[in-house]
Amino acid sequence: MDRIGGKCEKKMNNTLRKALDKSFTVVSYASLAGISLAVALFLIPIIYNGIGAFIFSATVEHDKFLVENLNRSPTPAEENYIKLSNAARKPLYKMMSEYECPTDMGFAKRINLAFDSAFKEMNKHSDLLLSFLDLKGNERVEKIRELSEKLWSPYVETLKDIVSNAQEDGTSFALINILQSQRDRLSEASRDEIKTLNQIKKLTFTQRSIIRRNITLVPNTYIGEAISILEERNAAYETLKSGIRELLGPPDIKSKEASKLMRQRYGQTRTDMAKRVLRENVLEITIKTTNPDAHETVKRVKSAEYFKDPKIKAILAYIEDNFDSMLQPHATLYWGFFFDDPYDSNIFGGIWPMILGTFYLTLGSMLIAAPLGIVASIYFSEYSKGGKIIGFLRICVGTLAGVPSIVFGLFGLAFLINTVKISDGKSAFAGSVTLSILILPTIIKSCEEALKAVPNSYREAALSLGAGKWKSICTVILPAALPAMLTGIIISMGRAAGETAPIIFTAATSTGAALAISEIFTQPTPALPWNIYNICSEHEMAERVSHVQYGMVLTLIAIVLALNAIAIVIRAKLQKKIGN
Amino acid sequence: MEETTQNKIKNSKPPKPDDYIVTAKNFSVYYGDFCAVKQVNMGFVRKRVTSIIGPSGCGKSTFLRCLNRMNDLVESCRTSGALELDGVNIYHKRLDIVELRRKVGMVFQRPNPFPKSIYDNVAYGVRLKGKCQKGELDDIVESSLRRAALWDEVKNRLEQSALGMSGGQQQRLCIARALAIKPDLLLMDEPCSALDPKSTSRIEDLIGELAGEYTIAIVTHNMQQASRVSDYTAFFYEGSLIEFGKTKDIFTKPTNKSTNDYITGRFG
Repeated sequence: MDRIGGKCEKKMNNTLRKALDKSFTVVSYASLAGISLAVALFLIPIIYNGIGAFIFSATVEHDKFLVENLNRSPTPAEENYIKLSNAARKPLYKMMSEYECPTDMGFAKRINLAFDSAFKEMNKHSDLLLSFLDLKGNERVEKIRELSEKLWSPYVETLKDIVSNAQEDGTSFALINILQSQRDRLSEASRDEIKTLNQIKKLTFTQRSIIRRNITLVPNTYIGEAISILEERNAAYETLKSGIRELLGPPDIKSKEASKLMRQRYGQTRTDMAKRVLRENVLEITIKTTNPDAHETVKRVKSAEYFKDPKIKAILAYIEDNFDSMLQPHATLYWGFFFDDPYDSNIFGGIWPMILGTFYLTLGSMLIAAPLGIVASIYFSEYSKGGKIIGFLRICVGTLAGVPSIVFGLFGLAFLINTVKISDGKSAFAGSVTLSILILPTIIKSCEEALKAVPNSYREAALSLGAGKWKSICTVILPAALPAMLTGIIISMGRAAGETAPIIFTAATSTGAALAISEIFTQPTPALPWNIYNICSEHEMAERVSHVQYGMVLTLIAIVLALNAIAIVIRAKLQKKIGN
Repeated sequence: MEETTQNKIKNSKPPKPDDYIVTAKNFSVYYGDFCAVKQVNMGFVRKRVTSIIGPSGCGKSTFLRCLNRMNDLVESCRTSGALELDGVNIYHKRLDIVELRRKVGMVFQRPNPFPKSIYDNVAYGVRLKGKCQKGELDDIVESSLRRAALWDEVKNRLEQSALGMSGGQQQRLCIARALAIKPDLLLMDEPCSALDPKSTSRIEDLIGELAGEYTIAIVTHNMQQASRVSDYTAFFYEGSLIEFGKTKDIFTKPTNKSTNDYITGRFG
């Protein structure tokens, strides 16, 4: 009975074991698939967009920027682009200046004529005015206003006619000036009138002020309304104009030289950005309504619907139709993204100082941490005989490996910079030292593991052949452990390249030029990890530099991956040499 | 000299102390409190092969590893009594261990060539001694490899990694490496236990060829091997030397009962 029971149990165990095996296989395949998917989801956009930082469709502004700021000699094709785009822009600028300063000023004459006749009418009614002044209280004011309305109504009608036309045909700039001068004339007219009346009959101060306030009240009120309407139209046009300027750059060299910011000297350098600006800042604009009774309101409107003026409609149509000929989009390969300095907060140029800074920090930390780590690991693995102090040191190394990196950054600031004063402030050197402390435990651990993995038989063989301890370490143990040690060191190097927190306090600056080697000990440096954070969250035009964000991320990932690839290659080569 | 020893073997008299290159007098080894080798008195005859046999854990390897002080690597290890190489106490406080190990070469249980080229492996010990002319070094490497019967197999691939060789070749390379520094005494700690029969027989042949030129001490589990290759045999049991004498005598007419039981396969 027992035996049969035992058999049954064994059989069940076998089935169970097989089922478990299968389920483990399924789970591991699923997790592998999950990891691959996550990596793909993570990497594909970075690679796609990052490549877009140096292979993209450029506009003629990109060529202009390179030629004028980086002294690149233009290719014949680029010269041609610049020529063609200038030719295509000329009609646009002509249309705009025609809109702003119309040559046909016939309405000015009409307004002056209407004013003169109204003024004459007013002079004829001096007696009537004087009789109104004898009336009491509200009646006096009402009568004067009634008269004023009667006198000025033809004039106001003429203005109304002209203003409503101006909204259609785009003479608003000139009209505002004329209306403003009409205001002056009106106040002059009222002064004249008072003078005339005063000659007929001596007026009291109150009487004078009543006349001044009321005799031209109606036209004045209307002119005020008209100006505020026209000004709103003008502000909208100015918004549109700045959108066009953002798209194409300033129209002439004078305004180019006057602009301090590079972004005001050039239009959009990338076709995708240019299309976005066309869509968001030209074909659509943001209107601010200034109403004294209410808060300022902001609304988005379609330019073509908002502007009634056929001249502006023509400008919009021209821009939309001649987008390609004005900006000359062409595919380009811009290696300068890696090797040029950035201009105007990374909106133009490349990321060379960041790459160089990362290089300095990583290499510097390696130069400090690798020798220390190797020596320490040799001591731990080959010389130490255990004991409390060694045990304590091991715990320290382990703990140090788990300390959050921000703490290392604070340590670097508080101890290295403020206490030891290895530099006056942030410097690439201080950052390197901080990073080297950060990666030291990892290097010690990995090198110690590598040394421990060297078979004891090598040590015995070396000793039996008359090698001393140090000789056996130098000639046999280190060479055998070297591939694994290098792997560990280079992987730590990847970590140093990507660490952000330690360098925030000790080395990183968001803007700055590439450092010369002599400046390493005194100057802070830009570096990829910090600048990625900076350009993504602190940048004033973060959405305009998304290509730089992705380009930086891709570069950083490429550097880390390249370091890991080097580690793999070195390991493979050394192991091939050793013959494993 | 050789004739006299041959005579002695023939006359089955124990060798005279003068002929011993190494002598152990009341030599004991302790690992902590555990006594691994107890009060051993024996010697290794110059230019003869002496095998040490015994069941596992009998202290034979420990004893062998004392001869070049390899046991120093074990921290808890200490010794008492005397162990003399050419009259000099191996465990003398002021003895230069490096010098001792140059005089006493060792071949280990598992082939352990360095992860270097064949040439560098053989030249390793010579280079440690100091500067050496390239031509001289070449000669030493070649003669060592010839003596280890490996030259013909590897002469065309001296620069290749030693780890690419077969196990038997690797073990012979280790022998060549030990021979290159011209040791007075060659220790072999079960040199064939990790090898197949064919390689084993090659190594045994090699030991036969080296006998007469070198003093060899070999630890082995394999009694046939001991009887084939050695001139003298020592039988260890539980840390004590039970019997020591000429191989022929030990294997044909052991005086001790446990020796008899062991070689007839009753235990071990």
